[in-house]
Order: sequence, then C-alpha cells, then structure tokens
Amino acid sequence: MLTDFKPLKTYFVENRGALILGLSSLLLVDGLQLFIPRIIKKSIDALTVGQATVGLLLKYALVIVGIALTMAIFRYIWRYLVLGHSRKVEEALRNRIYKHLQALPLSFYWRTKTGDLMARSVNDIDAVRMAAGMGLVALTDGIVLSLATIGFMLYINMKLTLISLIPAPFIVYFTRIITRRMGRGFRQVQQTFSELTESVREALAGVRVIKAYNRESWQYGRVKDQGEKYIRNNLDLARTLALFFPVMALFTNLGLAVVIWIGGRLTILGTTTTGDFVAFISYLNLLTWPMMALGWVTNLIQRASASMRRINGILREVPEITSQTASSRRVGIRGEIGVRNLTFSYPGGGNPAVEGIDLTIEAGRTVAIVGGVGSGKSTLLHTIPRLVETERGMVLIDGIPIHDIDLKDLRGSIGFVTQEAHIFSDTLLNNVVFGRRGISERTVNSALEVSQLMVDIESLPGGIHSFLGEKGITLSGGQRQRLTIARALISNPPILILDDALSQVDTRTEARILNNILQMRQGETNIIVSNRTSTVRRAEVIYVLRTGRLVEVGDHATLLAAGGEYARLYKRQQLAEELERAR
Amino acid sequence: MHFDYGYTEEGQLGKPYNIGLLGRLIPYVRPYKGLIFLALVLTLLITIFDLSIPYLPKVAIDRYILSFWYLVDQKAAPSSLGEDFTRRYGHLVDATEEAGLGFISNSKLKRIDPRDVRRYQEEGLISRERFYRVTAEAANQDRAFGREKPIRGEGPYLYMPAEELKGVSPRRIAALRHKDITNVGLVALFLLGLIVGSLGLNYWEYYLLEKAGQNMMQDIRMTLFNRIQGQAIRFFDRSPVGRVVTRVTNDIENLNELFKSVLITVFKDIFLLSGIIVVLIHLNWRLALISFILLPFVFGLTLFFSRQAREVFREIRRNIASINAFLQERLSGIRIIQLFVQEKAQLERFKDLNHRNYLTSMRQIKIFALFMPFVEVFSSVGIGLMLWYGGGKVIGEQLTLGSLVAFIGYTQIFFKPIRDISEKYNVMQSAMASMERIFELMDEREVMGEQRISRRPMRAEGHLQFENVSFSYEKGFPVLSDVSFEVKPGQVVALVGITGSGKTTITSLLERFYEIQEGTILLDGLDIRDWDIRELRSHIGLVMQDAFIFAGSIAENISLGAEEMTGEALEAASRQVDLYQFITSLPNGFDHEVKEGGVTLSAGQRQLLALSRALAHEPTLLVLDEATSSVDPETERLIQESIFRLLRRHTTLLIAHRPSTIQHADRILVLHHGRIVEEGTHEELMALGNIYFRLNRIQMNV
Repeated sequence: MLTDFKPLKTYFVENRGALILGLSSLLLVDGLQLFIPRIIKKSIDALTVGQATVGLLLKYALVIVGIALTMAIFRYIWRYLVLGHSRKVEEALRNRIYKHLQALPLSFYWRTKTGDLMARSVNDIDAVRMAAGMGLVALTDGIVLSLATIGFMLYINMKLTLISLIPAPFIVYFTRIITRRMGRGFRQVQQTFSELTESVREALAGVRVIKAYNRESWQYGRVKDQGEKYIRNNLDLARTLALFFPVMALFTNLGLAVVIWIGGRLTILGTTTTGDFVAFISYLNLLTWPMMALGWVTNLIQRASASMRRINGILREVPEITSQTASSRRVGIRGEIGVRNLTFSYPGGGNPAVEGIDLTIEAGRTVAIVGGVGSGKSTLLHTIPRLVETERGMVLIDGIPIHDIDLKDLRGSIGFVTQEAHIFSDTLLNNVVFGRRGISERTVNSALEVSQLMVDIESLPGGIHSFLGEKGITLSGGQRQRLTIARALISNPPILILDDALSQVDTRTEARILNNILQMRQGETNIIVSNRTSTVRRAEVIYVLRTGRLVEVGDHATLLAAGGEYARLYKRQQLAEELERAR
Repeated sequence: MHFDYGYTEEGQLGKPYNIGLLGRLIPYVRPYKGLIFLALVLTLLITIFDLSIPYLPKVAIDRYILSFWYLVDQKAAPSSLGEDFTRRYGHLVDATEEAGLGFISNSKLKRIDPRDVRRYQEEGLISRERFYRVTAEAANQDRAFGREKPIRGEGPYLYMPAEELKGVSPRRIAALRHKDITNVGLVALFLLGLIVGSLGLNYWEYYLLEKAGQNMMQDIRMTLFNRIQGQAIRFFDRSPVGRVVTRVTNDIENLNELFKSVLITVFKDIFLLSGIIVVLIHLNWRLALISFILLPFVFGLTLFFSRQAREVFREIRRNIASINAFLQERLSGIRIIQLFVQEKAQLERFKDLNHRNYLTSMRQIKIFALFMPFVEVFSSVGIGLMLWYGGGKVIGEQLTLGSLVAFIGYTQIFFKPIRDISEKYNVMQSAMASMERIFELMDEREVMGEQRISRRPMRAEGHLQFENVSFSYEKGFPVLSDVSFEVKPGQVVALVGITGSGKTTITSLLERFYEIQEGTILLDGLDIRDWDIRELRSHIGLVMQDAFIFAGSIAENISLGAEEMTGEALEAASRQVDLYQFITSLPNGFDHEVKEGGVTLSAGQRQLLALSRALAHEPTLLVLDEATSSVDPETERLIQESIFRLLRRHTTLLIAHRPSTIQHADRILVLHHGRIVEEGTHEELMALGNIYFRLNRIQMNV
C-alpha cells in the first residue's frame, strides 16, 4: 500500500521544513494542553485550604488565558503549515498529472474517457490531499500521544500496562481484517457508483428511442435496480464501517475494564498503590483520543491509497512519442513530404485505415487529397505530425524520417487545421495567438484578413477581445473554422494542412480564403482535403484514396479524363453543390 | 486578464443559501421517519453510554478501591458546629449504636463542600484517620488470627483503621475486603456490558442512518430521474447529458453527506448543548448567566467566520469548476495542443488556475486556522472567568466549591458542540449547493402544448396526414414550411432530399417530440395532439438514423424490457430482418450481452437490431430514417433485402438514400429546404428531370 504513495515522496521532502515546524507546533500544543488542568487543580486546592484570594485567582485565570493564547498561536502555525502542505501537494500533483496527460499520445485518449480523467485530477486528488493534511496531523497526534501515554503507563506500573494491553493483539488482528474488508467495500461502492452513473447516462442519451417506444418504465427499472445495487453495496460497506470506529473505541475501553477488574483487585490487596492506580486509569482514558485518531487515519489512508492507485494509473502511462536526441535538431524545413508504404489500423478497428500508401509531395506544391467517408484521408494526414504512430512504413520530411526530427521542430513546422474546429473558452485574440510568443499585431491582422474573419470581428461588441465559449459569444461553425485557419496561419509554417477545414464555410468565402492562402503561401507546401470540387481542382496534384488505399494520382484534368474514382467523385459533388445552391 | 471559463453558476456572491430548501426534503424523510427516529433514540442512548463509561472507573475507585470511611464525632467539636453539620449533612452519616458517633464514606464525603470538610476536620468533627468497613463475619474470622480488637462499631458492620491493614498479607486483606473485591469485579463486568452495548448501539445507529439515507437518496434520485425522463425532447436538446447525469448521481451523493454527517452531528450537539445549559442553570443560575456572557461573542464569531468561509468556499467551488472546465476543454482538444506544440503554454495556464485554487484554499486554511483556535481560547476564557468570578463567590461564601468544580467541568465540554457545528459548516455549504441544483432541475418543466382531449382510437390503420405543417426549432429559422402530404394505409411513401432538408424533423414531429407551430398532423383522421401520447407512440415504429443500442442482452434490445413480449415474438421479429441466424450463432443467443453503444456489433447489425426492435413492437405505421453511414456491401445487401420484404407488409414512411430502395415506394416526396418541391412515382420524377433526377444521379454514382 505504501508504494502507492511513492510519487508523493518528493513533495514531502520539499516541504520538510514546514512539515517539521508544523508538526512540532502540533506536539507543543499537545504538551501545553496538559498545563491547564493543573492550574485549575491548583486554584481549587488553594480555595479548599482557604488560601485563595481574588488576586491569586485572577492571576491563575490570566495564566490560563495566556496559555490558551499561546496554544492558539501554535495551533494557527500547524494548521497553516501542515494543511498548507497538503494544498501544495494537491497543486503539485495536479500539475504533474496534467503535464503528463499532455505528453500522452492520441491513442491513450481513444481508450480513455475525459470524464474519468477529470475525476482523477479532481476527486481522487482530493482524497490524497485529505490524507496528506489532516491525515498526517491525526497520524502524528495518534502515534506520539499514544506512545507517550503508553510510556507513562509503563513508567507507573509495568504490570498494569501489560494487563491493559491484553486485548491489543485481538484488536490488531480484527483491524487488519476490517481494513481489508473496508478497502474491498470502497472499491465496490466506487464501481457500482460508476455503473449507476452509466445507467443514468445511457437512459438519457437514448431518451428518444425510449420515448418513441414508450419504454420509460424499463429505463426507470434499470436505473432503480442499479440504485438498489448501490444501496446494497453501501450497506455492505456500512456494516464494516459501522464496526470500525466502535471497535477502535473498544480497544481502550476493554483495557479499562480489564485494568479495573485485575488492577482494582491488586490495589485492594495492597500490591499496587492507590495513587499509581488512579494515575494509571487517567492515562488509560487519555489513550482514547489517539486511538480514535489512528482509526480515522486508517480509514483516510485506505481511501487515499485507492485514489493514488487510480492516479498512478495515469502516471504509469508512457508517453509513446518521445523526442529524439538533441543532435537530431535541425532548422529550416523546406516542406517536402514523403510517405513510404504506410499502413495503420486503429486498435480493435479491424481493417487498416490506411494501407500501403506511397507518395511524395514536393516542397512548395499545393496538393489535394480526396476520397469518400472513411477512405483514410485524416489518418494519413495525422501521421505527418506524428499524432498517430505508423505501424508499418514511414513518413519523411525533406528526406529525413520524422522520428529523427525533434518533435517540437516537426510540429512547429506544420500548420494543421483539423476537421472540427476546437475553440477554447478565451478571447478571440487568445484563441488565434494560442500562447505563442513574438506574434505581432500585424501578423494577427493579416491572418484574420486571409481567413476572412476580420469583417465578422468588426461586428462583435468586444472586437478581437470578445470572449468565446460557453458563457461568451457562440461563433457559427463557419466562423469557428475560419478562426482555426487563422490560428494555423500566424506562424507561417512551411507545411500547411487543411483537413476538410472549410466544410462549413460557404462556397464563395471558401474560394476567397483559398485565393488568399495560395497567394500568401507561394513557394510553401499546402495540403488540402475538401469535398468541394471548386477547391480540389485548384491543386497541382490530387491524390485519390479509397478504403485506405491510394488509387489515383494526377492533376484535375488528367484525372477527370481518366474517368475513374476521381471523375465519379467529382460529378457527384458537382451535383450536390448545384442542389445546395438551388433555392 | 480575467479568465472565468464561463463558470458563474455558483450564484451571486454573498447570497446565503435558501434554508427553505430543507423543507422540501420532508416528503422524502417521511417514509423513513421510523428508522430515523430509532436512530436518534440510539444516538441519545449512545450519548448516555459515552458519558457513563468514564464515570464507572470513578465509581470503582471511590466506592470500592479507596473505600475509606471517616469517623464523625459530634462530641469532639463545638456543639453549634455539630448541630450545623447534622442539619446540613446528617443524612450522609451512617450512625453507630454509640450516640453522636458515626461514619461517613469517602464518596459521601465528596458531596460535602471541600472547604467545609476542611473546617470539620480542623475542628475534629470528622476524623483525618481513615477506616475500612468490614462485615462482622469477616471481622470475626479475622479475629481468629489472634490480633486484639482494633475495630470500632457494632452490628453487621465494623470499622477498622486503614493503618491496620498496611503490610498485612494479601490473603487476610482479601478475606476482610472480599466484598470490595467482588464489587470491583461487578463494576468491571458492568463496564464490559456498557462497552459491548455501546458497540452494538453505535453499529446500529450507523447502519440505520446509512439505510435511511441511502433509501431517501434513492427515492430522490428516482423522482428526479422520472421527472427528467418526462421532460419534452427540447429539454434534452439544450441540456448536455453530462450535466444532468451529475445532478442525478454526484449531487445526490453530496446531499447524502448532509443528511448523514451534518444533521446527526447537529442534532447530537444541540442535544448535548441544551443538556449542559439545563444542568448549569440548575446548579447555579447566576453563575450560569455569567458563563453565558460569552455565548453571544462565540456565536457572533462563528457567524463572522462562517460568512467569510462561505465566500471562500464558493470561490473554491468556482475554481474547481474552472479546473474541470479547463481539463475538459484541453483534454478533448489535446490534438490541437500537441499539434501547435502548446504544451508548455497550456501547462502554464493550468498552473495559474491551479495556483489560484491554492491561494484560495490557503485563505480558507487561514480562516479556519484562526477560527478553530479562537473557539478554544473562548473556552479557556470561560474557564478563567469561572475561576476568577466563581472563585471570588466561593471566597465570599456565596457559592460552594463543589458547584464551582462542576461548573468548570461543564464549561470545558460546553464549547465542543459549538466547534463541531461550525466545523460541519463546510459540508453543509457543499450539500446546500447541491440541493439547490437538484431542486432546480426538479422544478424544470419542459411540457408539450396542451393535450386537449386524450383519446384512444379503437384501431389504428396508419393513415397519416400532414396538413400545411410549419415548424422551426428556433424562431426565425424555419425548418419545415407548409408541408402537406398523405400516407394511406398500406402505402409506402419515401422522403428524399439533401442533408438538412428537414426529413428527420418530420419523423420527430410525427412522434410528437416537438410541437408544430402551424398546421395539423393527423393519424387516422385524429389530430396527434388529441391522441393519448403513449397510445400514439405505440402505433409508430420508428427506426432512427443512428441505431441506439443499450448495454444488455440482445433480447432486451429488441423488447426494450417489455416483459409481455414472448420468445416467439422476438424470434419472428429477428427472422423478418434476417438477424435470427446471426443471433443464434452468438454464444448465448438472445441472452448474449451487448456492450455500451453496441461496440461489438457492426454498424449493419446494429441497424438490423433496431429494425427488428421496431417490428417486435407491432407498429401500425413504420417510420424508417435510414442510416447514412456506409456499411460493407454484404450487410448493405442484407439490409436492402430486409427492407424490401418489410415494405410489402407495412404502411411505411421511408427516408432513404439508396435509389434501389426508393424506387419501390408508392410515392416519393422530394424535400428541399423544408418544402416539398416534387412529388410522384420514381418514373414520374425521373421524367421531370429536376431535383430528384439529379439526386438520383448522385446516389447512383457511388
């Protein structure tokens, strides 16, 4: 179980100063706490013997308040330092997970649900934080206080101590069994909870089918069944948890009963002095709190270790794509792209998405890739910036295998505009600049001109600083696509890839944007995927894909004349466009 | 720059939570009031048990282990003092046969004010010498040891100076004090009983509360789920599934926390608090009032800190929401970040957010780090005040020392419940926020237009009429304009048109997922708004574009859990679409479990499964909104054949792209930009040479 917490070690080492100071303050407070009852006793004694004066009492009262204030200061210190430490652990761990997630390949995201990653980065870290903060406090308190108390008990009377410890082995054994059951219970509850969530999600996602067939009662029943299963699992866990804390209390109380019974007899018989006995009992009572604290900690650590296991699940994922050594770094990519016998299949997807593709795109050319739905256009393009790793075959840029190019340089020299325009909740400007430094206002403006977004921006109330996203302005599909094109253009990359990036822009605007791009990017490599004939025909070379294979290559006129796949696609699209225009 | 990430749903700053919401929980609590009442009774018992457990060792020590007696000799003191003593404490003394001579036990002596005890002892009224009380029988046996009589008193009990027993053999002590030894054993046994009893009580309290809580939450969950399922489709159009699911699961889970930990703790603490207050007032109401002086300060302080904590707490929730929103956006757009090599910049942004969360949490820590010790300081000030003021009263003889000691003891535990309650404030905040959202969702009511009369026609024939129907999802963006057509019983009518021409909308309107703005839709001559909605839907077999597959068995996916559906019906439905052979080839046949979304089935198989689902429900009118996704040629052929066969047997409204399918329709309607622009048979429309003709050529080319 401890190995689960290994990733946290560095943070504990880093914060050791604060931790030591904080935990020392905690122990100091524990120590100071013992003085107040003594002062109360002193005052009572003074009152009993009639020596007390109002002045003396006032002095004692002030001392008590003084001690309380000192304790308050140290309490503040330990709370601030130790709980602050747990917040630091939270922050660092979350940063670490996010950093790691960013480095993971796309294939990881195919098999992982975003919601699950969010849960791990927020809820699971919470559980860890609890253990690292209050858990640590209770652990220290529990161990130190119980050891100190047991030490005092031993000092007073070894025999009584041993007697009071008679139930201990049973309790230890019992605790082990219970914690194991607790762990199992927590896992089970967690599991049913996600099943319940899934059943609700499915019912709501399929609500149209359900309504169409009047089967609301069926889904109601399914969710109800899951809910009842959740109740059962929770009650199973409750049966364990309900035993746990009382059993921890039993430890000290059972010891108490045994001490009274055996120790009381010994005291009566004069073997043990009455003073020792009374003191001993009061120490035994003091043991209750640290024992409860240790029990609570066990519970907390159980939860945290379950969460740590889930977090480690992410951290153990190896970033598949790693940059090569520094020597592979090079500058000035011209933009020639070679694809050699490329094959790739998606995990569990059956047939390869692309198979045996061979092609060379000369630097400075504008080419188009066409093909029906699922013909492998996107997959082919995704291999160039290494978003997916080639299975067989290779991709070369300027004759160098892309694996020998530093990943940053590789991606930095490609402007890739994906099919779906991903917009972040941020200002329009920030969405275009996207964190890159040294971008002048002029560059931004010219990119916005090229992508024909300037006119739209002028009509926005906040202009270029308008906030986009859930609570901000909602851009239309076409506007979003134009924005992502501007995003790719501002770095003026040697290679520009438009993966069906203008599908929602109307034909006339698309033509204008293309004109602008081709004019601006003369002598650079442009790869365009489009379903629009008007766009495709402008390419110097057209590659035609069908079910993952490259079937035709050539310019528009040649391919049309050949009367093959391209000619068919072309005619079909022309008709569709005509229809679209017909109002 | 301010990044809000669009999350301002936490409500306005400073706005307190609506406590009235708690009242809405009452109907859910009611069915379990027995359970809860029982749990609360157990809680009270536990409190009593917990208070008595530390009391028992005291009893064992005072009564049986240090079972000393003191000689009370009225003749030894001035008579006025003796009379005073008899008047005040006479009832505590066990008299002996000798007049004016008695014994008082150690535990009874403790009931006398310590200052008086001191005075009595100085005057010789009460002896300093301590005695043990032994039974005459034991004393007689002891005399057999041959010692001279050191014992005073007569009758069943004799008193023997404690000094006498020093250095005496344990055997003799055991004999003399066997009663004490037995009693100590009994106390230990009683304690053991209490401990075991407390264990049982604790166990049942926890279990019963969990049981009541879980069941209540299930009731709320199912009510909420029912309410959501009953919403019109528009509700689902605008509410992301993820957010709604969160309400049904996470928020209700949060609410359970409120019930389980907060309400019970608060109940326990209020019980304890009022108990202490009653005891204090009973002991000495003047001193009690003095100790209450601090209460307004404590409550004021609690209120002040709580308010501070509330703001910080809400800010933390906002931070977490921002972090979640950030993660959701970045992780779903991870491709973009990796493509633009923006990992570093995005990490910085994330770190910023995260650090902001850290800073807010530190503010929270500081607030609590001030507040918690402050309450402790108040508790100590309370004790100091008692010592000083109460001690002064003791000196002035207006208060007994015993009361003062009790007062100080109670003051020490007085502040614990107050601290507990404010500590639970955190949990309560979060739960209240969840409750707000749950009831907000429950109050949401997206209803269809008035159902004028709910009629159930005897037999539906499947005669469908659209009369001048216009519809738009959003005002100003008409999807259908003035659409009229008719499907007569037994006919097959096909709808064709390019994507976005409004075909799917027609099927949705027919199912009454949305209310039309103009015109009428009639089924068997009756306006669908006059139909009982369930009856209406039961007559229509809709197969949607994407076949939704539920996690569960194949049989369940066909019957959708309709239990009255027989095995034969399932078989017949699957045979009609040529799926029977495939199903029986599966490991468990109809009981074969399909995963979420039917990922283990091919697109074609999913489509066929959805078809047989529609057939199994024996619709009067079959509505097929055909899948556009490409399937492999083999499956395509299979689906084609199935559809041909179906068409011959049902009244059908068909949306199709495949010319081969459309050709078989009795009539073809061409929908373009929400209007019917052409209508006729395949031949007629081909001859027309307009949109249908061109559409057909596009399809044929594929």
